[in-house]
Amino acid sequence: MAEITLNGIQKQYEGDQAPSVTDFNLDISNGELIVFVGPSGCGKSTTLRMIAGLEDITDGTLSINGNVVNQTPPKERDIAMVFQDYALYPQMSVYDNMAFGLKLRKYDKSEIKERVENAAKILGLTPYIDRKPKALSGGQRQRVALGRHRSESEGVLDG
Amino acid sequence: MTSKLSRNLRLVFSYAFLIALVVIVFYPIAWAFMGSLNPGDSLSKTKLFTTDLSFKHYIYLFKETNYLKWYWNTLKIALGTMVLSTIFVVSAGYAFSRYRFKGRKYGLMTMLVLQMFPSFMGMIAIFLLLDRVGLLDTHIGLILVYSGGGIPFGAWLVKGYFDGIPKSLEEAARIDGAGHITVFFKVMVPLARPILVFVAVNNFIGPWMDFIFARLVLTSPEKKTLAIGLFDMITGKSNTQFTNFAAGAVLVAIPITILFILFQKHIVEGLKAGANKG
Repeated sequence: MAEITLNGIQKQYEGDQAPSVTDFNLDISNGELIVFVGPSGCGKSTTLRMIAGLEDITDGTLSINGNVVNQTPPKERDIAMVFQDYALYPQMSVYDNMAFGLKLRKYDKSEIKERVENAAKILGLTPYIDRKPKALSGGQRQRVALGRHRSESEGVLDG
Repeated sequence: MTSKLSRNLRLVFSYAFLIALVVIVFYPIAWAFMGSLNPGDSLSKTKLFTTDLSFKHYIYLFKETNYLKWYWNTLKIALGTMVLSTIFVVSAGYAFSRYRFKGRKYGLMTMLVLQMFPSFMGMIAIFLLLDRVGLLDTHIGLILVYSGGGIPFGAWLVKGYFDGIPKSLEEAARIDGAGHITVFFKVMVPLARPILVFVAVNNFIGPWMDFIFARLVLTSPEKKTLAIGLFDMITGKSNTQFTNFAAGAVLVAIPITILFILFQKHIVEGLKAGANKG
C-alpha cells in the first residue's frame, strides 16, 4: 500500500546552470504503474533517485502515504529500486543478494527463507539460488535484482 | 616450415631468458644457504658444492645470541604495523574515494607529493617527535612510524580500487537498509579484498626488512629487531660472523616466503589493480 505525491519537485545539481528537474507534479495512487519516457539527460533517473532518497531534493515536497519524506533516509522510505546496472553484490550468492535487505531489517531467519524462496520461485531462479551473479546471464541478473526487492517491499522503482 | 622454425627459436630464447633469471635470483640465495651450513666463520672459504656441512651456526644463533627474542620483536612489530596500517589505509582510501569534503583534492595532492620524498628526510623530526611523546625505544613507537609512513602510498592505491567499484552497489545497500558502517564492512571491504591483502602483505614486509628506522628508534639491546641484530654481527671491527649472519638471514626469509605463497593470487591481483587505477 503506497501513494506517492510529487509537489513542485526541483533538482539543481551543484555547478550546473539550469536545473535538471523543474516543477514536477505527479500523483501516483496505490497499484498504479507509471512509466517515464524521454530523451537521455531529461531527468528521469534523477526523479527516481530523488524518490528513492539517493539525491537531495532542491525544492518542492515529496510525500509517501501523505508523509513528507524529503529528509527521510532511503532505508526508512520502504521503497525498492532496480538499478540500471542491477547493482548485485558480486561477493554474495543469489540467495544472499535477495536476503540482504531482509537481514538488515531484522526479519526472522525462517521468514527470510520463506520470502526469498517464494520470490525465487516466482522469478524462476530456484535452480540458481546458490550461484554468484557472475555466473548468471543478463536476464537472470535482472530477475535477481527484481527479486531482491520483491522479497522485501511493495513499491518498486525501476531505474 | 619457417614459421615452425621461428616458433622454436622463440621458445628457445624464452627458456634461455627464464633460466638466466632463475640463476640470477637463486645464485645469491644458494650462497647464503650454503654459507649458513659451512663450518668456519668466513664466507671466502665457503664452497657452493661441498659435503662438509654442519648446523653449528644455527645452533649458535639459538644458544649464544638473542635470536629468538629478535625474531619475536620483529614479528610483533611487523604484525602490529600490518594490522594498524591496513586499518588506516582502508579508512583513508574509502573516505577519499567516496566522500566529498573540503580539502579532499589538496589532501590527495599532498599525499602524492609527500610520497616522493624519501622517508629518511623525516628521520630527525620523527626522532624528536617520539622523544617528546616518550615513545622512543618502544615497539609501539616504531609501529606508529611504519604505519603512518605507509598511509600515503596505500591510501592512493586503495582509493583507486574503491573508485572502480560502482556507486550503485552502495546505493542499493542503502535502500536495502544499510547504514554507513554496514555498507563499508558488508559491501565495500569484501569487494576490496585483493587490494587489502596486497596492502597488508606490503606493510608486513616493510617493517620485517627495515633497518634504518629500527636502528633510529630502538636503542636497548633487548628490543632489537632481526635486521639490527644480524647486521651487528658483521659490522664493527671484531665482528666478522658472516656465516652466522647467513644462517640468520635464511631463517628471516621463511615467514615472507610463506606469506607470498599463501597470498600469491591476491598479490598479483592487487598489483594489477594498482597498475590500472592507482
